[in-house]
Amino acid sequence: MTVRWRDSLLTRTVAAVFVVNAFMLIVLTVLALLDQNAALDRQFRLRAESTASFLAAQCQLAMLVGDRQQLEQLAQAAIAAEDIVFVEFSDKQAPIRKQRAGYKPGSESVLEVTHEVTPMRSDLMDWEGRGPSRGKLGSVRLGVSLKAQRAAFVHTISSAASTVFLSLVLILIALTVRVARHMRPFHNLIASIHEIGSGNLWARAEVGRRDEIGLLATAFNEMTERLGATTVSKEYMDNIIGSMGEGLIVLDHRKRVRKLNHAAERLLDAPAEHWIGRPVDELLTGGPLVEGTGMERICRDASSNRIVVLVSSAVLCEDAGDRGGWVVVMQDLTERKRAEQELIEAKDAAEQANRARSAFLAGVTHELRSPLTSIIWSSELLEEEFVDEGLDSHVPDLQKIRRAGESLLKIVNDVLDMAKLDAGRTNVTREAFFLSQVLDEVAQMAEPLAARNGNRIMVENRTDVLEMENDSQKFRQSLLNLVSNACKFTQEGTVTIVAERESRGGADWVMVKVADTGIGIAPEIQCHLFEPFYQGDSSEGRKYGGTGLGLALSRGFCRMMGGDLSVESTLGAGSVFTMQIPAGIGFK
Amino acid sequence: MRDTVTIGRREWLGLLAALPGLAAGKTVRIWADSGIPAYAEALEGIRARLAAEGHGVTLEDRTQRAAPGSGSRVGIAVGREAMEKADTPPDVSVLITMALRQDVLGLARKPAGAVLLDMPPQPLLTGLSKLMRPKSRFGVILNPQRTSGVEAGLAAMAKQGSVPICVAECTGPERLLGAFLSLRGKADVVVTGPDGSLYSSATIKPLILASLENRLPLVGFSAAFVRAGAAFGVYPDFRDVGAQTAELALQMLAARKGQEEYPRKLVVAMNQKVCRLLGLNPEADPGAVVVFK
Repeated sequence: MTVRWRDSLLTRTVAAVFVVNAFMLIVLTVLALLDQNAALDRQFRLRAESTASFLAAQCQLAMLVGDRQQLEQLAQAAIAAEDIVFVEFSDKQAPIRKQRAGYKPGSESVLEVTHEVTPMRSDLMDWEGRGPSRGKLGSVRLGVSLKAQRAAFVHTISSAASTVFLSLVLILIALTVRVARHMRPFHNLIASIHEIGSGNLWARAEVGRRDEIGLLATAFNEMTERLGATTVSKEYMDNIIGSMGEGLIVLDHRKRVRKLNHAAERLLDAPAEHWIGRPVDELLTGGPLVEGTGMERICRDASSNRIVVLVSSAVLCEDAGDRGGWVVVMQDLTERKRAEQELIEAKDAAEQANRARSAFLAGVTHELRSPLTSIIWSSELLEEEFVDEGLDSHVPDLQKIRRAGESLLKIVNDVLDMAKLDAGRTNVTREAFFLSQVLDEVAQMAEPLAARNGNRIMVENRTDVLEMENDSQKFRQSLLNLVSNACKFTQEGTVTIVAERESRGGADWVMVKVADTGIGIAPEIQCHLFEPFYQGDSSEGRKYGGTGLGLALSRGFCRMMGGDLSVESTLGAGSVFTMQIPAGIGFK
Repeated sequence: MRDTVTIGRREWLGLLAALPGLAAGKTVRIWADSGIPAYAEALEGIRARLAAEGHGVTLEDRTQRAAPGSGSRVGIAVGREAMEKADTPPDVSVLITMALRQDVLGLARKPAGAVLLDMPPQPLLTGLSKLMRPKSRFGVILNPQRTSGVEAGLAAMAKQGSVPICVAECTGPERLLGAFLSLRGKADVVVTGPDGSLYSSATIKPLILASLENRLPLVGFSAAFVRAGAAFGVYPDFRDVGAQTAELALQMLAARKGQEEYPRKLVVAMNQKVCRLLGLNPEADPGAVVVFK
């Protein structure tokens, strides 16, 4: 955008200052010329009067003595001067007049001067004062042409006019250069404004000056700074919209497409021009367009392919609050759907594989249990027969075989239980049982193990009931695992089994705590303690033995019974395992 | 002519010296133009003389009105114009000095006494004889309209035949040169009298030129005339004129009647350069008092 030269501030400023300067210069020049003209007049008149005075002095004697010839000679000599056009001597006799050849009265401007000729006072009388002369001898009338003066004045005027014109041209040039230099920051400011107007809110005007223009540039920059802090540019918004991964469609109030972003173009497989102006129903089906989020719709691209999209839409409000249109964000669910399907398929396959594994484990363990059971039974029978026949020397070997078989059987049983648990083939058989009886049985079963390490088992039933309803076998096995572990990791200590009753959420719970004074469990191990086959330290595992399935099975059983298993332990001070089991039908 | 009176140190000293006279009421009032050297000389002579007699002087500009009741009975008007224009009280006897008789005759108020500048012919001739060769012939230009003055006195002496003087009458400036030239061969020196109607700056130049061309020396009547080109000059001693005036005033104060007196002392001057041009030998002339070189 350009400014016409007539409207330009530069032109107006230069014109205003130039007019003032020109007016002042012309007025001063005219005044100087008038003054010079007056001075010229004065000088000219003074010169004429001096000439007349001189002539009067010269003709004094001639007039005194009546020397006409002398007067004529004087007059002739006087008009020989360039600018004297006539001389006239008047005395008591007839006047004597001489004029320049070719001169006609009235033909040119003439300054006439008249000077009286008086008799000189005698200065030869030393004793007389210098008073005024008495009497009059005559007069001298002189005509001086003003032509030379006029010509000199005209020459002065033309010189002054030339000087004024030259000065005005120089002033105009200097003014234009100077004002243009002052205006340059304005152009920079305008350029900055254009740049900001085009969306570059980071553009700044060059300050560089300390005058009002500098202040204006500073204020403009501050304004732009604040504007930039509170306003985002169209380009910025376009960048945001363009960089969105989701397709964005802007509809007008008639639900016709008004604008699309690049993602929407890609999704709909056509440029924006193809869709602009079309009703939204042509590209979105599967339900009405309503305000909301997370709505699955079917989108049809330019090739009529169906694309499942997740739609979020909102109404655009214009300034007056009217509905100005809609904004619709579409997320392509094709990949997600494909991933979900793959996940489902993978899950099914994994479950199938798991079931096959469990079936395999179950089958294998079942096949292992039968010969192991036969080995244990056979070793017991042989042991009884050797004792009966007196072959006691073979009994220890048979006992080793039996204990190894029992140990192996336990491992197999644990693996089998774990496999069943993983395969979900373990069922909970709820039945009523006596809590005290189970506690005592477990203590009794663990007694040999406790005795082996010099431990003492204490049972404390703080509940006031006899029966509870849950899976007694899993309860017993879980508790036995905990007590066995406590006896195994405690030397010359105490293993305490405490049962308590607790009511939570309107139900009764049995809290069974197995506390020992053993080696304790490090905190970093506690979080992995209930994972299958996990043993805190491999050296410890080898030292204390076990498969690492006991605690995993106990927690699995507790959770199957509707409860849970937790641990609190201090390294070197002992551990407390707590079973929280629903009491079932309630204590009786 | 100046409207104010300038009183120098010497005047002030004179006034201080006259204080005793002021106290005694013996004051002489003087009206005079200031700025004229001849008047200053005359005033000096007046004051000196009056102070010697114990009288005070009240010096006034001639245009000022006299202070009433000053007690002076005698006043002195220095110059004709002072006599004409000074507001002299009627009870004061005014005597005039430094004026020609011709001028005094025309005054409206007749002075009670006068010391005139008209030189007596005989002393003038005596003075000139000291400068000129013996038996020199004198010429004189006479304005017949003037009945007094040195030229008139010389003309009268010429009529009597006591002295060889040739008289040339001149009625106006236009005839001055002719009158002068008519004395060629008849006189060895031409005497001029103080006549303002004949001698002025305009007429003096051709007269001097004619004097030089015809080797006919002029005798001027003032120092200015001698400076302008006259070979000789004879004129009154103005200081002595002042003293003479003071003495006349003292006589009048002594209740004696005033009278008309003429200069007692003349100054003889010569222009050395003009004399040389004229072929005269001024060094041989011991009578010259003032020599213009």
